[in-house]
This record gives sequence, structure tokens and C-alpha cells, in this order.
Amino acid sequence: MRPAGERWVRIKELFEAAVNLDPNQRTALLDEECGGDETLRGEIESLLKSDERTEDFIERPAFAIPHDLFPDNVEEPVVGREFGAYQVIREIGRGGLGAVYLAARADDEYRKQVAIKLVRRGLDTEDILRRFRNERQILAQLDHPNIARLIDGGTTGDGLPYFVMEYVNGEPINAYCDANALPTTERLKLFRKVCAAVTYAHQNLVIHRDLKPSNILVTQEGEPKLLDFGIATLLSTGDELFTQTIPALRVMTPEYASPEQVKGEKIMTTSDVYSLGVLLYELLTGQRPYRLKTRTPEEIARAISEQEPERPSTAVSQRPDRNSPRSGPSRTGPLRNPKSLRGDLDNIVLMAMRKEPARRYTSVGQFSEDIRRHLEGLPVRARKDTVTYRASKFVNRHRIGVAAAALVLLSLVGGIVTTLRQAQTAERAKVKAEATSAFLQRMLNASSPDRNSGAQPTVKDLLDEASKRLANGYLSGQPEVRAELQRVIGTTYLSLGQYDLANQNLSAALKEQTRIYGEDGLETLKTKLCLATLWGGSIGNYAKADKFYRHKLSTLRAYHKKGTLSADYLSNALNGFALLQRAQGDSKEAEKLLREQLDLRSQVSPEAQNGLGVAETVLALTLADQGEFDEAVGIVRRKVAEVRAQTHSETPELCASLTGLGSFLIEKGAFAEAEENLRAAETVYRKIYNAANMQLGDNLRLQAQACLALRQYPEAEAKINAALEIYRAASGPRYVNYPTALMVQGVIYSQTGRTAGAEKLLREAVRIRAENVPETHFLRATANGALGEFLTTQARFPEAESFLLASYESLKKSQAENSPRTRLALQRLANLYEAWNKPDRAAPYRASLSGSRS
Amino acid sequence: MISTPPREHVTQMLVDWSKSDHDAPARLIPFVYDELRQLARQYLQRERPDHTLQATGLVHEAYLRLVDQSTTTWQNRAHFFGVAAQVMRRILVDYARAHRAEKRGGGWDKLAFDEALAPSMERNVDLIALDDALKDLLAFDPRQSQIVELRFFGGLTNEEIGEVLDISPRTVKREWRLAKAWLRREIMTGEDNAAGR
Repeated sequence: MRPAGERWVRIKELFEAAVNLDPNQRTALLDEECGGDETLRGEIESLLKSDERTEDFIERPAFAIPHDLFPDNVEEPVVGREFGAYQVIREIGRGGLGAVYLAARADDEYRKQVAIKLVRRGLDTEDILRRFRNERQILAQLDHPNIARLIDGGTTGDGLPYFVMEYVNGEPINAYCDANALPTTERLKLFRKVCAAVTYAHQNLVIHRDLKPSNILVTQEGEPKLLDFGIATLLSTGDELFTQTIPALRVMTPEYASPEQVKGEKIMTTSDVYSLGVLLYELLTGQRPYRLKTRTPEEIARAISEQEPERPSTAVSQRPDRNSPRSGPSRTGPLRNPKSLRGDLDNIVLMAMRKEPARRYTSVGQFSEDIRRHLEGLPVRARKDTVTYRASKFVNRHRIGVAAAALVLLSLVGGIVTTLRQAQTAERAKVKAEATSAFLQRMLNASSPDRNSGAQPTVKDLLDEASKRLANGYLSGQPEVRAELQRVIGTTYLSLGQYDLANQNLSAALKEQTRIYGEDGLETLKTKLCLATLWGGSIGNYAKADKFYRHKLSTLRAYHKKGTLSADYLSNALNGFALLQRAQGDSKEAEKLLREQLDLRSQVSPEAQNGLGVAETVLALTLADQGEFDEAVGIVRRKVAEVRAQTHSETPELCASLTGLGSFLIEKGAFAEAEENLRAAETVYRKIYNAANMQLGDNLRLQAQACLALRQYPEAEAKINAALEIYRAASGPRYVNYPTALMVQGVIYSQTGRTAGAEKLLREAVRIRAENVPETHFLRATANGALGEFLTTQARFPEAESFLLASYESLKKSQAENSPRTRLALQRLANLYEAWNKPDRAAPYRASLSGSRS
Repeated sequence: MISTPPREHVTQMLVDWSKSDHDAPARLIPFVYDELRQLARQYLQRERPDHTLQATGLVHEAYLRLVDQSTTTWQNRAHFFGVAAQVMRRILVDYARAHRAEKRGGGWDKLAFDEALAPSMERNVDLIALDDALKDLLAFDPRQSQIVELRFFGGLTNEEIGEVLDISPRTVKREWRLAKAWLRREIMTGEDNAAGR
């Protein structure tokens, strides 16, 4: 019997309970526990019986190793053996796991030569066999002139698997270039052929993960051939992509491994971009990119993740020293001209080799395209790293200094100083000020470097420490000060995307302030406004946020009128309520609130002006919701132009307007233009913010949508994974756009044949939407629509119909008739009925579709 | 292809493994296999021909030779023993298969097998049947299957197994008892059926 899951757990439980009892007790126990389940009882009894007779069964370790177990040559000779129609001529390579042999068709007149790869006897463990099968499966999928072809496969008489491949009689690409003294242009052209092969593999969802010269042989005809997919991975294994890491140091020349590979992080198609970058570096300069002293695995790993490679042109000009401390063997190729490398080629190679995958070329195709543009004298995409970027990297790497940390804390306290002015009496103000400054002092002492084993604290460290202290009762004698500090800390957490911590601090502050100032006290409302932002925007607790705005907005307006509440606060409240109204499907009301917010323009402080720029983009979104796409696109386009005209154009509002524009363009079907705008926004986001934030996550998600529409699946998948990673790190499923990202991932899965995974993702999206947004909300309709469309492709028509009808009926109410969302729903219904072979039912939807065309 | 001294290599692979390099076990096996083979050969050459070798000693010695203990943790050690037990299981079961094939007159002509030495292999256990039963057990109780592998093929004590699997020796003992009862019943049933055919 092969018991499954719960059954086995039960058997285990009863066996363990019974085994130490005497026979009578056993019977009693089994009577009691098994009830009428005779099978269960029989199973336990037979195990107990077996237990009594085990005696020394397998008690002594297996062996004693017999004499002839390890004879000198346990491996039978392979040369001369036949594998299918092929006879082995000689061994041509040998690795840890297996060997490669040259063989020829025994019955063939011209004796076509092939290579046979065979697992070593004794090493055919499950792990190794799995990898061997993996490689065979991958090769079977790939048919490209620059990838060594799989010809045949099988199992030997004694059960060892093997496969037969195209035999490539050539030399490693670097040796080939040098031996033939190829000029730079020819090297670039040859390299582009390699790129074509890798791109083809990526399109088939295969990542090579081990690109290096010895795996790229060039034939006598000058054709490069990609070999050894032994550690390649299939993207189709879905989430496994996250967990699978490369055996970084398996290769003896790990310099080709990317930073994410040596760090054991997840591997993406951009990891192959990196390895190809190193390869191109070597082809152009005759040198490996990193300067190494010892070549220990640790040093190589460190150099790869930290050392900036020298520019290729510099490397070439410094080359004469044969005993240079460079890694890798010194090559004997012709001395190349540094001038030909300076500029474009330097930038191209270094862009491919950037440490952060997201800052490299997004695909091998893009990399290769840039080389083509260089060859044709066109401007290239690659640029030098900007000064801002380098500076921000410096800051990240060295973490912030104490002085900077102090500034942050002071600005936190700055918020308190303003409230001090409103304190009723001078005496109270003094007490508050003293308490605040004492707290500040303690924080700075606690976080000085020598007390933290030398590492300097980050802002987050300081906040964590401060939050912990306050929670543990620090300043409990000064409840007003404590509550204010908690609000400031909570707000800062909120802007860092740390929602749980934000919630903790804000809730604590609110409780205290409600007690002190009453429910409608100014301070209480200010804190509650921060919480409402959190509920409405980030956590998706719409009901709570909605209640607050509905009941308290007029009070806030009154405080503002009296002059006690700054325009910044009221502006935030209007914005928060507008976003919430929109999220709940009332874009018209949202539009009104946003216009009221924009009317405050002249009163808000300079720091809050950027927020108004973002409000304009949100206004455009609400117009788009109502089907006013053209007006929406107009607003954001104007905004983009306006910001770009400023001296400091790289602002959050530029990012927001570019991202908003991107999202409209996606809905309008202008995918390439959308992607362009989104990428531009991404670049700025990454310059402004050191850490990933939700806006960047949204941007990447939209990019994934554009790539998906353009059928660039590996890119789409990489982007959506990156977006989900950001969402998960911050707030997970509670974030309003999280289910949308799941939908995008689901559609990618569905279109790349991973249907089981796709369904899971799409259903999860529907489930979360149903929990978090009202039934009439368009987001719910969108999720239902995506699932319905998927079910249509699976020919599960009745089920699909119910989701698609629900989606359409809801959108018909919340959206303008010619809005792209409604049109998409119509389209999906028409497609369903046509696939279902019910043209008469498809007809009315088709008709409204052509009728509503604007 | 492999030119670095295995010691440095194996140590590094163990360290990678604890950094969640899931391919590490597969890459370790060739080294462990070669080392075990070589060690066994040396012993057998030195000793009298009828002297047999205990696996436990072999595995421990392989560890000392292959792994630089100054840079590794107990976790690395545990991983190593896990792999070694797997390799030993493989070696012995293959051996038993080849031996069985020989007795039936199949297979190619191997080195003569000295029947006189055979008794030192577990006389009471059909290794091939045990191997099959362990595969079945793996399907619904991987931990028990691993415990048997580590104890029976790797020669580890309950305490060492506890370290490898990160559980208490008492749990090991409890699981071992049921696993043994289940395996024995499984193998005996198989024999009964075969006899009754």
C-alpha cells in the first residue's frame, strides 16, 4: 500500500502511539482510534507485526565493502561501442559528469561524424540524470544554424542515457578570432551571430547561463555554434526561475558569470546579456575585464559584484605589459586600436556588463541591434553612466553618514517644531521641545558607528530604532510629543513603502491623540489623514478610508478656512479621496475633487507643488476612465512637455506623467510608443530613488504589459517578475495594483503554454479583487475579463461566458461606451461565441463593436 | 577540465550549497564518488585480500580529505554526508545489480567475483529490493527515506543524522523504527509474492 498525505500522517501517529504499549493496551487503543476503519487498523497491525520481527534488519550499516567493488578500471571501454547507428571513434572531451565522444554512422558511406554525450557510469544518480534529460529536452526544442543540433538520443543496453549531437569541428571563438587576426568589424559581425543564437534560445524560453568562449566554437566556415546547454534553464518552469540559481563556480573560468549568478540570485535573460558583454570585452581587447590578484573563487565573486571594469579602450591602450595582473591568460591577438573602441563600443560593452540586471540592455536582441547601429554609423542606445547615477551608487554603497542621518532626524523633528507654535502655553512648548531634543540626542548616540560594529546607520535603521523605543514606552510621560514623533515616523515609513510599520506607528499616534484632542481635534485628523492615505492607497482597505473622507473632509475644509490647517494637508486629503473614489469606480466624483485640489495651487508650499503635477496625471486618468482618452492623453503630453522645459526636469512628476502616458498608449494599442515612454520614466525613477518603490513597480508592470502585447515574452516576464518582487517586498496582495500584475503574469503564462500556472494566477487575481473592491468596480470587471478570455482559449465556454458577461455588464455601467475597456469586453465576448460556434450570439457584440468605433 | 585541487573545490561547493545553490549536490557527486573509490582502492591494496572495509570509516575519511574544515560549518558537513550516503547507496546497489546479472549469466565478463567475500555484504537484505522500496517510501515520506539512506548506506549515527536533517536524534529514532517496519514488510511481501508465483 502506498498511503498518501493525511492517511500516512494518521498511520504514523497511531503506530507511534501503539508501538510502546503491551498487546492488550494496543488492542484497546486501536479499538478506540480506528473506529470502523478496518483498512487503517489492518495497516497498523501489519506494521506492528513487522516491527516485532525486524530484529537486526538493516540495523548494521550496509557494508563492508567487497573487494572488487573498486577495481582499477571499472569503466568498460567506450571507444568502438555502438550507440544506435553510431560507432564511437574516440573521446573528445570529459567533464565531471560525463564524457563526449566523436562517433560516425556505422552504415554511412561518407561517414557523417557526430558527437555523443554519455553519463559516466556510477554517476547516474537522479540529480545528474535529471540535468542530463533537461539538456536533451532543451536541445530538442532548439533548431538554429548557430546552435549545435540534437540528432538522436537513447539509452544504452545497461541503462545509461546518451544523446547524439551535431559534431562541431571548430575552435573557441576567442582563439578563432586571434588565429585569423580578425579586425574589429569582423569580430563584431561574428559576435552578432552568437547574439542571434542566444536570442533564438530566449525566444524559446531557454536561458543558457554558461556563455563563454569554450562553449562557442567557430567552424572552419566561420560559423559560430553554441554548445553545452548542460546548465541551461527553461523559463517554462515558471516560479522555479526564482529559486534556481546558477552553480557559479562550477566553471573554472567563472569570470563570465554575472553578479546575480555569483550572488546566487535569480537568473534572467539579462544574465546572458552580461556574459555576452564579458565575451565581447574579451574579443575586443584580448583581456578579461577584472583585475585579480589571487583568482580564488571568493575574489572572483567579489570582483564580479563590485569591481567596475575598465573601459575597453583604456584596457587596450595599457596592454603592452605581458605580465599584467589581469585575470585570464594573456592572448596573442593583434594589438587593437584604442581609438576604434573609444565612445560607442566602450559604452555598448559596459552597458551589457552593468552590475544591475535592470540597467543592462533588456534583451540580447537590443544589445546586438546597438552593435549593428554602431557598424552602420548610427547613434547607439548605450550611454555612459551618469554622474548622478554614480553618486547615488556611492551613497548606496557607503550607506549614509552620521551627519546625513542626523539631518533626516532633524527634518522629522521639523514637523514637530511647527506644531510647537500652536501649543497653548509657552511652558508646554518648552517641555515639548526639551523632550524632543533629548529623544533626538539618544537616537544619534545609539546609532553612532562605534556602537553598531562599525557600520553606519541607514535612515531605515534610525527609524526602526526610534519606532522601537517609542513603542517600548519611551517618552510616555510626554504623550503629545510621543504621538507626534510616531506620526512623523509613520509618514516616513509610508513613503518608504513599509506599510506595516507605518500602520503601527500611525495607529499608536491616533489612539493617543484621540484621547488627548478628541476625535475631531486637528492633530487627530492629521494623523487619521495619513492613515487614510495608507488604507486607501496602499493597503486597499477602502471602506475605512472612505468613511474617514466622507465624514471628515468638510471638517478639514473648515480647519483650512480658519487658517489652522495648511493647504498642503487639504491638498493631500482631496487627492487621497479622489484616488479612493476612482478606485471605487466613481471617476466623475474623483475628477471634481482633483479639480478642487488643483485650485489650491497658489496656496500650497513649494515642496508640495510636485504633488500637484502628479494630481494632473491622476485627473487625466479619471478622464480616461470616463472614456475621454484623447483629452487625457493631451493633458499628460502637455505635462511632459512642460516639465521637460524646466531646468530640473528629472522629477517625480515627469515620471508620473510619462508613466500615465504609457498606460493610456497601452490601452489605445500604441505599444511601442508606450514602451518608449515607460522606459524613459523608468530611467528617471532609478535616478531619483535609490531604492525601488511602488511607482517603479507600476512602471515595470506597465512595461511588461507593453512587451506582452508586442509578444516579447522573456522581456515581459522579466519585467513583471521585477514588478511583483517590488510589490511583494512592500505590501504584497494588499497593494491595489498587485492583482493586475498577477493578471499580466497569468496572461504571459497562458500565451507561452503554461496553462495550469496561468489559471492559478488569474483566479488569484479575481479572488483578491472580489475581496477588496466593490462589485461595480472596473478593476473587478477587468480581472473577470482576463480569466474569461483565458477560459475561452481552453474551450471551457460556459464558464468563460459567465465571467465575460459579468465583466461586460459591469463595465457598461461604469465606463463610457467607447472606452477601450468596454470595447475589450465586447471583443472578448464576440471571440468567445465565435470560438463556441455560436455566431448568432457573437453578432450583436460585433455590431456594437463596430458601432462604437470612435 | 577539472584542474583545481578537489579540496578547494568541494569546500567551495559546500559553501555555495548553503547559499542555496541547488545544483551543488549534483556537482559534488563526481568528486565524492572519485574520492570514495580511490580511498577504497588504497585500503584494499594495503590490507589482506579478505579484509573488508567499513563504509562509515570511508565516508568520514573522505570528508576529512575533501573538505577544508576551517572554512566550513556543521551545515556544510551535514550536506557532505548526505551526498556521500547517496553515492554509497548508488555504488552498492549497482554492484548488487551487476552481481545478480552475473549470476544469471547475463552481462559482460566482469572481474571474477570472489564468493568468499560476499558474506560481508548484508546477508539478510536484498539490496535491490530495498532500493526499490526506498524509492516508494521517498514518494510519501521523504524524510524517512533519507534517514534510512543516511543510516544504512552512509553509516551515520542518529545524532549525525539529526544534524544532517536538522531534527532531534529522538525524532530520528522514532522515524527510523516505523521506516524499518514499513520497509521490512514491503520487502518481505515482495518475496512472498515471488515465492508464490
